[in-house]
Parts: sequence; C-alpha cells; structure tokens
Amino acid sequence: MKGGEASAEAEFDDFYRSTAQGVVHLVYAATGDLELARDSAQEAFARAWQRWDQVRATDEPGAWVRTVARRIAISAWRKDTNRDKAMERHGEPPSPAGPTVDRVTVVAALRTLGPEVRETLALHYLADMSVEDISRQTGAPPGTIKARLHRGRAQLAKTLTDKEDHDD
Amino acid sequence: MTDRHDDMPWDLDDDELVRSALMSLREDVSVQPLPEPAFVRARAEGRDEVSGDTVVTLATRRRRSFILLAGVAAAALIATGTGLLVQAGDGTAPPAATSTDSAGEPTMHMLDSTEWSAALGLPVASTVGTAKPDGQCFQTPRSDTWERRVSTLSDGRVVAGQWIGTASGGTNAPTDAIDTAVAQCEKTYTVTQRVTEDLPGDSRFRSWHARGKDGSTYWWVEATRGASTSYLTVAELDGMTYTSEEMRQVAQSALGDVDLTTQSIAP
Repeated sequence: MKGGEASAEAEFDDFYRSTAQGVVHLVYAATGDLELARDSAQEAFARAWQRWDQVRATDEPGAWVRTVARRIAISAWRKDTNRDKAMERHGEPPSPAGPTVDRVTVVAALRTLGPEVRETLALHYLADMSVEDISRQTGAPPGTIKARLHRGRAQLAKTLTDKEDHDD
Repeated sequence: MTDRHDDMPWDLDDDELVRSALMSLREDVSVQPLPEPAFVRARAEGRDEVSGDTVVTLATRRRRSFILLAGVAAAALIATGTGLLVQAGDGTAPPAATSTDSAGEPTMHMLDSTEWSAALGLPVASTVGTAKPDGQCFQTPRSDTWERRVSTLSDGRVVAGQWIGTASGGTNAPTDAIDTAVAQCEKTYTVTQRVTEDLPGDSRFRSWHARGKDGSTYWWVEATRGASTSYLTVAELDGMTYTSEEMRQVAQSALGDVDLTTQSIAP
C-alpha cells in the first residue's frame, strides 16, 4: 500500500478513527499497561496499513488488528522479563495518563492476575467473545479458557470488593 | 455474555462488577488522544524504506561468511528443483497473505518476498502460490485446508517454500502431515539437528536441519498455533547457513508475532 490511492487512505483513516480506541482499550485491559497498549495498537495499525489490501479484504479487519496488537503487546511484555521484578521492588510506575484512583485500583487488581487470565477477561468482556471464540484465537482448549475466565473474574471481583469494603 | 462454571459459585453481581471495572478503563484511553491516522501511515511507510536497508545490510553481513561451493549450489539447485521444495510449477494468483479461522481472526501469515529476503539474506525475487500443492516429501492431506507458496531467487532457483494448513472442523492443527513429510525425507536426507520449543501464545516451533548425500543442506520448520500449522522449507544456497534461532524467527513470522522486515535476525 505504498503511496496508496487517496480512497484507500481515506478508508484506512476511517477504520483507524473508528476502531483504534477500542483496540487500545482491549490491550490495556489485557496487559494493565496503557503505554504498552498505545504503542502496540499503533504498531498493529501500521502493519495493517502496510498490507491494507489484504487486511481490508478480511471478514473483520478490526479483529485482525486486535489480534496483532495483542500479540505485539504480549511479546513485548514477555521480553521484558525484569519488569515484574522491578515493579515488586519499586512499586507501580506512575502513569502519564493519570488515571483516577478507582481505575488505579482496577489496573492494580488486573496486574495481580496472570497474563493469560487478563487476556481472557479482556477478550470476553471487551471484545464480547465466547469461550469457543477465545479458544480458537488463543489456541488454548475451551476448558482452560473457562477456568481462566472463572478464576480471573472471581479474583478480580474479590479484589475490587475488598478494596471497596476497606475504603468504606 | 456469561459463561457459568458449575463447579464454582458465581454471582451475577460480580459479573457486572468486573465488566464495569474493565469498561472504566476506557476513560484512561480517552484522556490522551491517539495520533492522527496520517502519523500511523507514515510510521508504516517510513519502515518500508528502512526495511530495504535491513535487507541490504543483512545480505552484506551474510556475504562476509560467504563460502561459495559451486558444486553444492548446483546440487542444491537440482535437489530443490526436483524434490524437497518441489518445482515452482505454474504460478497462480497468490492467496491471502494471512489465513484466517472461521471467526475471521488471523491465524498464520504467508511470508512475502520482502520477508523472505530479510530472513535469508538473499534477494528473493518472487513468492507465488502454486496449483501444485505437493512436494516429494510433503503430501497435502485432502481432509484439511492447505495453502502453499514457493519463493525463488532472480535466477529461478527455489530457495523456500511455505504451507499453511488449517484443520477442518477440528481444533488440532494438522501436524501429522508434517511428521509424515519429515519421516519421508529422512529416507533421503540425514537430519543433523532437531529442535522443539514452546513459543508465547500457546504456540509450538519445531525445526530440523538436514543434509543430502550431495552435501546440500536444508531447514524444515514447523510453526503451530491452535488449529493451524505452517510448514516452511529453506534451502541453504550460495554458502548461506542459518541457525535454529533464525528459523525460530521465521516461524514466529509465520505466526504473525515477528515482523522480519523490521527485526534484524541474530547473527
């Protein structure tokens, strides 16, 4: 799509404007890292533009970008093996986006979950995907997805409820 | 959408609490405006220029260890053209570069010429689909969906091939076909190295390095995730040699996890 036609650019721009925030939101929930989510989403859209003729022809270009963004984020997250240890030593880094206290709690609660569990919750609640859909996309068996979903929402709900009770 | 898990208690109020909590993160996303789409397009287009340099740099680096064995190259040409990687055959319109599952999600990526060039350090001139899906060692099963492309250098030599197979109606990738192909090839070639490794995203990478009686050497690579698998074959032509690490990156590219045009392969 190098030097693409104006119509292709306009189409891509519309696609980006209508879906980019949703992609960032999904990856943010899946990783608990807003900056990583923004970077991953931008990279995924850039890759989509590089092969826009092919991506636009898929049944659901948004799903393509979501998947690529998640994979980029997960890959980057796993490469940074010292990140979690550093967080344990120094605590959570301040977010430049300045989330509210409530959302800080949500992010902190999300980060108590494993990455696969976070991803499962994000796909289920934000991408509205069924257990079978998530299984197909991640390659994990449906039983594993069910277990992650149940464990994740139970743990997240408990953490959030405990926080509310503590605040009261 | 609620999936109950009968073995453990579940409260619909909790379900709503979790949903609301996750939805609230949208506000954080909205605080910082995203860059304009023109910026994203420029990011992609700027990379295209860089990727060209990457190919050249990589090719130059590899030429430093260039050991031209004309006999080996000629043998590889014959072996490649007649057997392991199958003949190019009549080119057909290339299939979609990214296969999708029934949900339209990308599952495997067909490498194009630019990516193969970056991966192999050789100027891959064309990567095309073919109407002839079988090779000497690889017999495409009729029960599953398979796509195939073959990559050639400017002189017509086949340097790489890629198959993508997706299970029909099942969740297990059709890797049996790859096991069969490798077993078949081992009758003719000596496998000198085998690697099996789990990759992020519930994926698996397998590779075999093989040597023919004529001295020609090859890599056979498998990348599997979910119901799809990709089988990639690489001929080590013109004195080029590759490591298992490099083949893992090729596999990760097939999985859609690595962009070979922007990521320099380890020396």
